[in-house]
Amino acid sequence: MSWSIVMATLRQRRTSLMWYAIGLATYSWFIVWYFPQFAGNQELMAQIEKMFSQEMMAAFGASGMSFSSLGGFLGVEYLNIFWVLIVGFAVIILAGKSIAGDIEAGTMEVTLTQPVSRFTVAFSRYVALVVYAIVINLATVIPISVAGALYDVEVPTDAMLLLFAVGMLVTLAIGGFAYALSAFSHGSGRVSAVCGGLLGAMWLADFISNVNKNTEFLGKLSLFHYWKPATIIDQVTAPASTWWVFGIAAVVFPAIAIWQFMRRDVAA
Amino acid sequence: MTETVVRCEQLTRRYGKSRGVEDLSFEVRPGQVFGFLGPNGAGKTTTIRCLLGLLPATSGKAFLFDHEVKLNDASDRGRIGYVPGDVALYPTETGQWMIDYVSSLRGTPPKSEGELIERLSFDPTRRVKELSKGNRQKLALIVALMHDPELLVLDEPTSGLDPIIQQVIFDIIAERIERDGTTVFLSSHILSEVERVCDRVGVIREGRLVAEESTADIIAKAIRTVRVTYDEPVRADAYSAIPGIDSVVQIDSRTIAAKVVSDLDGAVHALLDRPIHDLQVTHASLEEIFFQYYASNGEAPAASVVEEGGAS
Repeated sequence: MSWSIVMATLRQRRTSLMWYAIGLATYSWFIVWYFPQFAGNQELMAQIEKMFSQEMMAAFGASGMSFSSLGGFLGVEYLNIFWVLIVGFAVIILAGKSIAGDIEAGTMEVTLTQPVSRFTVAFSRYVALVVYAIVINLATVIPISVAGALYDVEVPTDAMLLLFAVGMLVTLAIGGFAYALSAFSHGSGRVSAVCGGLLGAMWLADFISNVNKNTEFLGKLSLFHYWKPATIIDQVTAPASTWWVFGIAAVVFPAIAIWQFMRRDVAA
Repeated sequence: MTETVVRCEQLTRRYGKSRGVEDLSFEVRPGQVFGFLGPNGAGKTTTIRCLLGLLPATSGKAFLFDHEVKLNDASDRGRIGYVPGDVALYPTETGQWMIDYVSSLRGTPPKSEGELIERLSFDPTRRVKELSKGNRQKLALIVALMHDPELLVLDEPTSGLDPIIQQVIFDIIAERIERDGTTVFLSSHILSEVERVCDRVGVIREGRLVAEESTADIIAKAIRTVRVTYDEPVRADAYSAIPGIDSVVQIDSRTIAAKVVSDLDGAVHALLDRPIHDLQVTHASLEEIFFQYYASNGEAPAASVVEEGGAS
C-alpha cells in the first residue's frame, strides 16, 4: 500500500468530504434535538401514525415501526432512506473518480508511470475509500451521541458502536460496488448513473415488497431490506443477514475492482 | 549490462477491430536517441502506452531494460521519465505538490528539481489549472527529469508549444543526452525535433514500422525547398535541368521555389547564378518526406496519414 496515493486520493476529494461530514453531522444533531419534542407529545404521535398510510410508511422504510423510540424516529426521519442516499452518493462519486474518472481525466498516467504496481494503486485507493467512509460514519454517529447527551436523549454507546460498524459495512458495500464498476468503466459519470439508478431501483423494490404480500420476495433484492438502523439503535442488535450481505459485498466488490484494474487498459 | 533499453518483438495492439499497432519489432540500445516518427494516428502513442504498461499487448512482447513489460510489474518504472504530449495533471494542485507527489511515489528525493525549475523559469507555487499549456509541459518535463532517469520517453513533448519553449525543452533534453548519456525514445511528427536530437529513426505508418534507419539517412532522403528571390525577373524553367532539382515553380516574376531531392550543395550553387534578394531553404514537410519515402518503395501514402490533431 502507498500512503502517498491514499493521501492524494483523499486530498482530491477533501472539499466534498468536508461538506458531506458537515451535512451529516448537522442532520444527525438536528434529528436528535427534534426527537424529544415528538416523543413527549403522544397526541402528535398518534396523529402522525393515523395521518400516514401504510404505503407512505413503507416509502420511508418505516413499516411496522414506532415513532416514539429513538431508533424508530431516527430510522424514519434519517437513517433508513436519506442517510443511505447521502452516504451512498458520497462514496459512489469517490469510487467513480478513483479509477474511471482518473483514467478519463488522463491523470492516472501520472501515477502509473511511476514505480508503483497497479495492485498498489488500486488497493491504496480502496483504503482511501475506507478512510472516507470512516469519516462520514463518524460524522453520523458522534453528533447523535453528543446531541443525545445535551438534550437528555438516552443514546446507548454500544448501539452507536454497532451503528457505526454496520454503517461502515453498508457504506463499503455501496462504495465497493461503485469501485468495481469504476474499474470496468471509462467514465465516472457512467458509474454514478448506474449506481444511482440501482439504489433507486432497490428503494423501489423495498417499497413494493412492503406494501404487497405477493411481492415480498423483492425486498430480498434490496440493500434497504437488510439495513435496520431502528433495530440496531433500540435493540442493539443486527440480524445475521445484515452482516453477511453487507460484509460479503464489502469484500467481494473491491476484490473484483482490484483484479479488473490489474488487467485493464489505462488510456483516456 | 543491459543489452537493450527498449525492445518490441512483434508487438501488436488492436482496439476491438480497429488497428493500433501491428507486428512492431525494433530495439533501442543504451545511450541511443531513437526518434519514432509518424503522423497523428499512426500508432506512436499506442506503442508508448504498451511500453509503459498502460495498455496490454494483443500479441507480441515489449521489453524495457531487457525485462518483459507486465501491467502489474512497476519495478523498472523508476528508471524512466515520461513526458506525454498532452499533459494531464491534477488541476487544483500546485506544481510543487505534483513534484512532491511523484517524488513520494518514487521513494527518493529529486536530484535536479531546483536546477530544472530555474532553467525553465517555472513557478511551482501556481496551481496547475492556472498554468498555460507551455508551463504545464514544463512541469511535466521537470517531473520526468528531476530523478535523472536512465530512459526518457517523450511523446510529442512540444506539441502545440511556441518555438521559444520548444527550444528550451530541446536544449535541456540535448544536455541530458550529452551529460548523462540518457537513452531517449522520442515520438514526434515534427522532423526538425527528430533531426535535432535523434541518431536513429523509426518510421511508423498505419501501425506498422515501415523504416528504421539512421537520422542522417532519412534526412538525406528528405526534399528541401529552396526559395530564391532574385534582383531581376527570372523564368523558372531556366533552372529545371539542374541536377538534383526535381521541379521548379514560379512564385512571382522574381521568385522561384525549387524542390531539391539530392545534392543540395550543388543545386544551391547552380541556383545562385545571378544577384539575389532573398534565399530560404526549408525541409520538406513530413507529408512530403513520407510521400517521397513511400514513393521510393513503390507505395503511395494514404491521405489520412498526414492529418493533424487527434491521438496517435
